[in-house]
Amino acid sequence: MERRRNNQRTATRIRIVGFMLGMAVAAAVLGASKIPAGAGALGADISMVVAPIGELAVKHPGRVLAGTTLTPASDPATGGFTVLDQTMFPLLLRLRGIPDTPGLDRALWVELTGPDGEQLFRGSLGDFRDWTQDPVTLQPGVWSTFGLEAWIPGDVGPGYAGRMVQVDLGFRVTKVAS
Amino acid sequence: MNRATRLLAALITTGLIAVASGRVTFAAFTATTASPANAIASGTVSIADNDAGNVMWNVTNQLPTSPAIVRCIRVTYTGTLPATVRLYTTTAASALDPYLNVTVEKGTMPAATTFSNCTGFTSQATIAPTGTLQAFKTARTGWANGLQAFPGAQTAWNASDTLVYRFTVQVQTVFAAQGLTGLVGFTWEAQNQ
Repeated sequence: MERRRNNQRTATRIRIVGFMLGMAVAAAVLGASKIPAGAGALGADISMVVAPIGELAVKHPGRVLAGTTLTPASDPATGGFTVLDQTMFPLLLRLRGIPDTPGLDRALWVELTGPDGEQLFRGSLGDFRDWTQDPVTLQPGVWSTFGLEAWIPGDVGPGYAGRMVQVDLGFRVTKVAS
Repeated sequence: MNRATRLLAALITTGLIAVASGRVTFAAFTATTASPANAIASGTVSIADNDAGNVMWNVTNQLPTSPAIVRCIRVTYTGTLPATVRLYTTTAASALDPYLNVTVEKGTMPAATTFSNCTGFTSQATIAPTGTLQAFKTARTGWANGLQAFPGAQTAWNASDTLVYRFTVQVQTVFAAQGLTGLVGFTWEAQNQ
Protein backbone atom coordinates (compact mmCIF):
# COMPACT_ATOMS: atom_id res chain seq x y z
CA MET A 1 0.00 0.00 0.00
CA GLU A 2 2.75 2.39 1.07
CA ARG A 3 4.81 1.36 -1.96
CA ARG A 4 1.90 2.04 -4.30
CA ARG A 5 1.50 5.55 -2.89
CA ASN A 6 5.21 6.21 -3.36
CA ASN A 7 4.96 5.09 -6.97
CA GLN A 8 2.01 7.44 -7.61
CA ARG A 9 3.88 10.32 -6.00
CA THR A 10 6.89 9.63 -8.16
CA ALA A 11 4.73 9.45 -11.30
CA THR A 12 3.13 12.78 -10.48
CA ARG A 13 6.52 14.37 -9.98
CA ILE A 14 7.70 12.94 -13.26
CA ARG A 15 4.67 14.38 -15.07
CA ILE A 16 5.31 17.80 -13.56
CA VAL A 17 8.96 17.67 -14.50
CA GLY A 18 8.01 16.50 -18.00
CA PHE A 19 5.52 19.31 -18.40
CA MET A 20 8.07 21.89 -17.28
CA LEU A 21 10.67 20.47 -19.61
CA GLY A 22 8.21 20.61 -22.49
CA MET A 23 7.37 24.21 -21.69
CA ALA A 24 11.04 25.04 -21.54
CA VAL A 25 11.61 23.45 -24.94
CA ALA A 26 8.66 25.37 -26.40
CA ALA A 27 9.89 28.64 -24.88
CA ALA A 28 13.34 28.01 -26.31
CA VAL A 29 11.90 27.38 -29.77
CA LEU A 30 9.80 30.53 -29.57
CA GLY A 31 12.70 32.57 -28.33
CA ALA A 32 14.91 31.36 -31.13
CA SER A 33 12.23 32.18 -33.71
CA LYS A 34 11.58 35.71 -32.50
CA ILE A 35 12.16 38.38 -35.09
CA PRO A 36 14.76 40.82 -33.77
CA ALA A 37 13.66 44.35 -33.12
CA GLY A 38 14.42 46.92 -35.81
CA ALA A 39 17.36 49.22 -35.36
CA GLY A 40 15.66 52.47 -36.44
CA ALA A 41 12.37 54.31 -35.98
CA LEU A 42 9.74 54.55 -38.69
CA GLY A 43 9.45 58.22 -39.48
CA ALA A 44 7.71 60.58 -41.88
CA ASP A 45 8.96 61.72 -45.27
CA ILE A 46 8.41 65.15 -46.73
CA SER A 47 9.42 66.87 -49.92
CA MET A 48 8.67 70.42 -51.02
CA VAL A 49 8.69 71.42 -54.65
CA VAL A 50 8.63 74.79 -56.34
CA ALA A 51 7.92 75.85 -59.91
CA PRO A 52 8.18 79.21 -61.69
CA ILE A 53 5.18 81.34 -62.54
CA GLY A 54 4.96 83.97 -65.23
CA GLU A 55 6.20 86.80 -63.09
CA LEU A 56 8.80 84.84 -61.12
CA ALA A 57 11.76 82.81 -62.25
CA VAL A 58 13.02 80.07 -59.93
CA LYS A 59 16.72 79.35 -59.86
CA HIS A 60 16.41 75.58 -59.49
CA PRO A 61 12.81 74.48 -59.98
CA GLY A 62 11.80 71.16 -58.49
CA ARG A 63 12.46 69.70 -55.06
CA VAL A 64 13.78 72.32 -52.66
CA LEU A 65 13.42 70.41 -49.39
CA ALA A 66 13.65 66.72 -48.65
CA GLY A 67 13.26 65.12 -45.24
CA THR A 68 13.24 61.40 -44.66
CA THR A 69 12.38 59.33 -41.57
CA LEU A 70 11.52 62.44 -39.60
CA THR A 71 10.66 61.75 -35.97
CA PRO A 72 10.22 64.01 -32.95
CA ALA A 73 13.81 63.21 -32.08
CA SER A 74 15.35 63.98 -35.44
CA ASP A 75 16.82 67.24 -36.67
CA PRO A 76 14.66 69.43 -38.91
CA ALA A 77 14.82 68.97 -42.65
CA THR A 78 16.14 72.14 -44.23
CA GLY A 79 16.01 73.62 -47.69
CA GLY A 80 15.46 76.79 -49.63
CA PHE A 81 14.78 78.34 -52.98
CA THR A 82 15.61 81.47 -54.90
CA VAL A 83 13.22 83.48 -57.03
CA LEU A 84 13.51 86.51 -59.26
CA ASP A 85 10.96 89.12 -60.21
CA GLN A 86 11.18 89.18 -64.00
CA THR A 87 8.54 91.84 -64.53
CA MET A 88 9.37 95.51 -64.71
CA PHE A 89 7.70 96.31 -61.36
CA PRO A 90 8.38 95.63 -57.70
CA LEU A 91 6.09 92.83 -56.60
CA LEU A 92 4.53 91.83 -53.30
CA LEU A 93 4.91 88.10 -52.84
CA ARG A 94 2.87 85.83 -50.60
CA LEU A 95 3.52 82.12 -50.30
CA ARG A 96 1.82 78.97 -49.18
CA GLY A 97 2.25 75.21 -49.34
CA ILE A 98 -0.34 72.72 -50.49
CA PRO A 99 0.27 69.14 -49.25
CA ASP A 100 -0.87 66.35 -51.52
CA THR A 101 -2.33 64.50 -48.54
CA PRO A 102 -3.66 65.74 -45.19
CA GLY A 103 -2.00 62.93 -43.23
CA LEU A 104 0.71 65.11 -41.74
CA ASP A 105 -1.25 68.34 -41.45
CA ARG A 106 -0.97 68.37 -37.66
CA ALA A 107 2.15 66.35 -37.05
CA LEU A 108 4.53 68.24 -39.29
CA TRP A 109 5.60 71.81 -38.67
CA VAL A 110 7.08 74.21 -41.15
CA GLU A 111 9.04 77.43 -40.94
CA LEU A 112 9.49 79.75 -43.89
CA THR A 113 11.95 82.62 -43.73
CA GLY A 114 12.35 85.53 -46.10
CA PRO A 115 15.39 87.01 -47.84
CA ASP A 116 16.41 88.98 -44.75
CA GLY A 117 15.90 86.05 -42.42
CA GLU A 118 12.52 87.30 -41.31
CA GLN A 119 10.00 84.68 -40.27
CA LEU A 120 7.14 84.56 -42.77
CA PHE A 121 5.43 81.48 -41.42
CA ARG A 122 5.85 79.08 -38.54
CA GLY A 123 3.17 76.54 -37.80
CA SER A 124 1.60 73.27 -38.75
CA LEU A 125 1.62 72.00 -42.31
CA GLY A 126 -2.16 72.30 -42.33
CA ASP A 127 -2.00 76.01 -41.55
CA PHE A 128 0.60 76.45 -44.29
CA ARG A 129 -2.26 76.04 -46.79
CA ASP A 130 -3.17 79.68 -46.17
CA TRP A 131 -1.23 82.46 -47.83
CA THR A 132 1.38 84.09 -45.64
CA GLN A 133 0.07 87.27 -44.07
CA ASP A 134 3.02 89.59 -44.52
CA PRO A 135 4.20 89.95 -48.11
CA VAL A 136 7.80 90.14 -49.20
CA THR A 137 8.72 92.90 -51.62
CA LEU A 138 10.69 91.72 -54.62
CA GLN A 139 12.61 94.12 -56.80
CA PRO A 140 12.73 93.51 -60.56
CA GLY A 141 15.77 91.61 -61.68
CA VAL A 142 16.94 90.80 -58.15
CA TRP A 143 17.25 87.24 -56.86
CA SER A 144 15.72 86.63 -53.42
CA THR A 145 16.36 83.52 -51.34
CA PHE A 146 13.90 81.92 -48.94
CA GLY A 147 14.62 79.34 -46.27
CA LEU A 148 12.55 76.31 -45.29
CA GLU A 149 12.52 73.99 -42.32
CA ALA A 150 10.25 71.06 -41.54
CA TRP A 151 10.17 69.02 -38.36
CA ILE A 152 7.98 66.94 -36.07
CA PRO A 153 7.56 68.52 -32.63
CA GLY A 154 8.38 66.49 -29.56
CA ASP A 155 4.83 66.23 -28.27
CA VAL A 156 3.40 64.69 -31.42
CA GLY A 157 1.90 61.19 -31.16
CA PRO A 158 2.86 58.25 -33.32
CA GLY A 159 0.42 59.02 -36.16
CA TYR A 160 3.19 60.41 -38.36
CA ALA A 161 5.02 57.09 -38.68
CA GLY A 162 5.38 55.85 -42.22
CA ARG A 163 3.57 58.78 -43.82
CA MET A 164 4.80 60.65 -46.86
CA VAL A 165 3.78 64.04 -48.15
CA GLN A 166 4.71 66.29 -51.03
CA VAL A 167 4.10 69.99 -50.61
CA ASP A 168 3.72 72.22 -53.66
CA LEU A 169 4.81 75.75 -52.82
CA GLY A 170 2.62 78.42 -54.34
CA PHE A 171 3.31 82.06 -55.17
CA ARG A 172 0.86 84.93 -55.31
CA VAL A 173 2.17 88.23 -56.57
CA THR A 174 0.66 91.67 -56.79
CA LYS A 175 2.16 94.88 -58.01
CA VAL A 176 3.33 97.30 -55.39
CA ALA A 177 0.81 100.13 -55.31
CA SER A 178 2.35 103.23 -56.82
CA MET B 1 2.86 0.67 -19.23
CA ASN B 2 5.97 0.87 -17.10
CA ARG B 3 7.30 3.95 -15.42
CA ALA B 4 9.90 4.78 -18.05
CA THR B 5 7.36 4.53 -20.84
CA ARG B 6 4.94 6.79 -18.99
CA LEU B 7 7.72 9.26 -18.30
CA LEU B 8 8.62 9.30 -21.97
CA ALA B 9 5.01 9.64 -23.02
CA ALA B 10 4.48 12.54 -20.62
CA LEU B 11 7.55 14.33 -21.95
CA ILE B 12 6.57 13.84 -25.56
CA THR B 13 2.99 14.88 -24.97
CA THR B 14 3.99 17.97 -23.07
CA GLY B 15 6.58 18.86 -25.69
CA LEU B 16 4.09 18.40 -28.50
CA ILE B 17 1.52 20.57 -26.77
CA ALA B 18 4.11 23.22 -26.15
CA VAL B 19 5.39 23.15 -29.71
CA ALA B 20 1.85 23.15 -31.00
CA SER B 21 1.11 26.25 -28.96
CA GLY B 22 4.31 27.67 -30.34
CA ARG B 23 3.05 27.03 -33.84
CA VAL B 24 -0.11 28.89 -32.98
CA THR B 25 2.11 31.75 -31.92
CA PHE B 26 4.07 31.48 -35.16
CA ALA B 27 0.79 31.83 -37.01
CA ALA B 28 0.56 35.29 -35.49
CA PHE B 29 3.47 36.26 -37.75
CA THR B 30 1.32 36.99 -40.74
CA ALA B 31 2.22 38.91 -43.83
CA THR B 32 -0.06 41.13 -45.81
CA THR B 33 0.37 43.40 -48.73
CA ALA B 34 -1.74 46.46 -49.23
CA SER B 35 -2.28 49.12 -51.80
CA PRO B 36 -3.26 52.06 -49.64
CA ALA B 37 -4.65 55.45 -50.55
CA ASN B 38 -4.60 55.01 -54.30
CA ALA B 39 -4.73 58.49 -55.74
CA ILE B 40 -5.34 59.89 -59.14
CA ALA B 41 -4.84 63.49 -60.04
CA SER B 42 -5.67 65.14 -63.29
CA GLY B 43 -2.93 67.00 -65.11
CA THR B 44 -2.97 70.69 -65.78
CA VAL B 45 -2.36 72.91 -68.75
CA SER B 46 -1.54 76.49 -67.88
CA ILE B 47 0.73 79.16 -69.18
CA ALA B 48 1.86 82.56 -67.96
CA ASP B 49 4.09 85.43 -68.94
CA ASN B 50 6.13 88.07 -67.20
CA ASP B 51 4.31 91.21 -68.34
CA ALA B 52 2.31 91.56 -65.09
CA GLY B 53 -0.47 93.02 -67.17
CA ASN B 54 1.65 95.69 -68.82
CA VAL B 55 1.92 96.34 -72.55
CA MET B 56 5.08 95.43 -74.45
CA TRP B 57 5.23 98.75 -76.22
CA ASN B 58 3.36 102.02 -76.30
CA VAL B 59 5.29 104.44 -78.45
CA THR B 60 4.33 107.63 -80.21
CA ASN B 61 5.81 109.76 -82.98
CA GLN B 62 7.49 106.84 -84.65
CA LEU B 63 9.29 107.52 -87.90
CA PRO B 64 10.64 105.15 -90.50
CA THR B 65 14.05 106.34 -89.39
CA SER B 66 13.37 105.67 -85.72
CA PRO B 67 15.14 102.68 -84.22
CA ALA B 68 13.08 99.52 -84.44
CA ILE B 69 11.00 98.69 -81.41
CA VAL B 70 12.54 95.57 -79.89
CA ARG B 71 10.75 93.93 -76.99
CA CYS B 72 10.96 90.58 -75.27
CA ILE B 73 8.43 88.62 -73.31
CA ARG B 74 9.15 85.46 -71.36
CA VAL B 75 6.49 82.76 -71.51
CA THR B 76 6.49 80.07 -68.82
CA TYR B 77 4.60 76.81 -69.00
CA THR B 78 3.14 76.21 -65.55
CA GLY B 79 1.09 73.10 -66.35
CA THR B 80 2.03 69.50 -65.79
CA LEU B 81 1.00 67.85 -69.06
CA PRO B 82 3.21 67.99 -72.14
CA ALA B 83 1.73 70.71 -74.31
CA THR B 84 1.89 72.62 -77.55
CA VAL B 85 1.91 76.40 -77.40
CA ARG B 86 0.82 78.66 -80.21
CA LEU B 87 0.89 82.43 -80.62
CA TYR B 88 -1.84 84.37 -82.36
CA THR B 89 -3.74 87.64 -82.24
CA THR B 90 -7.42 88.43 -82.13
CA THR B 91 -6.96 92.19 -82.34
CA ALA B 92 -9.03 93.90 -85.00
CA ALA B 93 -7.32 95.57 -87.93
CA SER B 94 -5.91 99.05 -87.38
CA ALA B 95 -4.84 101.76 -89.81
CA LEU B 96 -1.08 101.39 -89.40
CA ASP B 97 -1.04 97.59 -89.80
CA PRO B 98 -0.05 97.57 -93.51
CA TYR B 99 2.92 99.84 -92.78
CA LEU B 100 4.36 98.08 -89.77
CA ASN B 101 6.90 95.33 -90.25
CA VAL B 102 6.97 92.68 -87.55
CA THR B 103 9.50 89.92 -86.89
CA VAL B 104 9.15 87.31 -84.16
CA GLU B 105 12.01 85.20 -82.86
CA LYS B 106 12.24 82.63 -80.11
CA GLY B 107 15.22 82.26 -77.83
CA THR B 108 16.72 82.46 -74.39
CA MET B 109 17.67 85.31 -72.13
CA PRO B 110 19.26 85.68 -68.71
CA ALA B 111 16.64 85.36 -65.99
CA ALA B 112 17.63 88.71 -64.57
CA THR B 113 16.54 90.50 -67.73
CA THR B 114 13.15 91.89 -66.84
CA PHE B 115 10.13 92.56 -69.02
CA SER B 116 10.23 93.93 -71.70
CA ASN B 117 13.97 94.26 -72.16
CA CYS B 118 15.95 91.94 -74.39
CA THR B 119 19.39 92.27 -72.82
CA GLY B 120 21.29 89.07 -73.42
CA PHE B 121 18.69 87.59 -75.76
CA THR B 122 20.03 84.69 -77.82
CA SER B 123 17.91 83.78 -80.80
CA GLN B 124 17.15 80.13 -81.44
CA ALA B 125 15.05 80.69 -84.53
CA THR B 126 12.98 83.24 -86.39
CA ILE B 127 9.48 81.91 -86.11
CA ALA B 128 7.77 84.72 -88.02
CA PRO B 129 9.93 86.23 -90.75
CA THR B 130 9.57 89.92 -91.32
CA GLY B 131 6.13 90.76 -92.66
CA THR B 132 3.48 93.36 -92.10
CA LEU B 133 1.38 93.41 -89.00
CA GLN B 134 -1.58 93.23 -91.34
CA ALA B 135 -0.34 89.92 -92.73
CA PHE B 136 0.29 88.59 -89.22
CA LYS B 137 -3.21 89.52 -88.13
CA THR B 138 -4.66 87.82 -91.16
CA ALA B 139 -2.59 84.65 -90.91
CA ARG B 140 -2.53 84.07 -87.14
CA THR B 141 -6.04 84.42 -85.86
CA GLY B 142 -6.42 81.50 -83.48
CA TRP B 143 -5.23 78.10 -82.34
CA ALA B 144 -5.72 76.46 -85.72
CA ASN B 145 -3.28 78.77 -87.52
CA GLY B 146 -1.28 79.97 -84.53
CA LEU B 147 2.47 80.30 -84.61
CA GLN B 148 3.87 77.17 -82.97
CA ALA B 149 7.16 77.20 -81.12
CA PHE B 150 8.90 75.02 -78.56
CA PRO B 151 11.82 75.73 -76.25
CA GLY B 152 15.04 74.83 -78.03
CA ALA B 153 14.79 71.59 -79.98
CA GLN B 154 11.98 70.21 -77.84
CA THR B 155 8.78 68.95 -79.36
CA ALA B 156 6.66 69.67 -76.30
CA TRP B 157 6.43 72.18 -73.52
CA ASN B 158 6.96 70.57 -70.15
CA ALA B 159 6.46 71.83 -66.61
CA SER B 160 8.50 74.96 -65.85
CA ASP B 161 9.74 75.40 -69.42
CA THR B 162 10.28 78.97 -70.49
CA LEU B 163 10.75 80.57 -73.87
CA VAL B 164 11.48 84.16 -74.73
CA TYR B 165 9.75 85.74 -77.72
CA ARG B 166 11.45 88.75 -79.25
CA PHE B 167 9.32 91.11 -81.29
CA THR B 168 10.92 93.60 -83.66
CA VAL B 169 8.63 96.25 -85.04
CA GLN B 170 9.56 98.90 -87.60
CA VAL B 171 7.53 101.52 -89.44
CA GLN B 172 7.90 101.29 -93.22
CA THR B 173 9.24 104.17 -95.25
CA VAL B 174 5.90 104.93 -96.74
CA PHE B 175 4.37 108.38 -96.90
CA ALA B 176 0.92 107.00 -96.22
CA ALA B 177 2.04 105.69 -92.86
CA GLN B 178 2.13 109.06 -91.17
CA GLY B 179 -0.41 109.98 -88.53
CA LEU B 180 -1.82 106.47 -88.11
CA THR B 181 -2.10 104.15 -85.15
CA GLY B 182 -1.38 100.44 -84.94
CA LEU B 183 -2.71 98.28 -82.20
CA VAL B 184 -2.10 94.61 -81.49
CA GLY B 185 -2.35 92.20 -78.63
CA PHE B 186 -0.87 88.72 -78.59
CA THR B 187 -2.22 85.53 -77.12
CA TRP B 188 -0.28 82.40 -76.23
CA GLU B 189 -2.43 79.33 -75.96
CA ALA B 190 -1.35 75.96 -74.61
CA GLN B 191 -3.07 72.68 -75.34
CA ASN B 192 -2.00 69.31 -74.05
CA GLN B 193 -0.55 66.91 -76.59
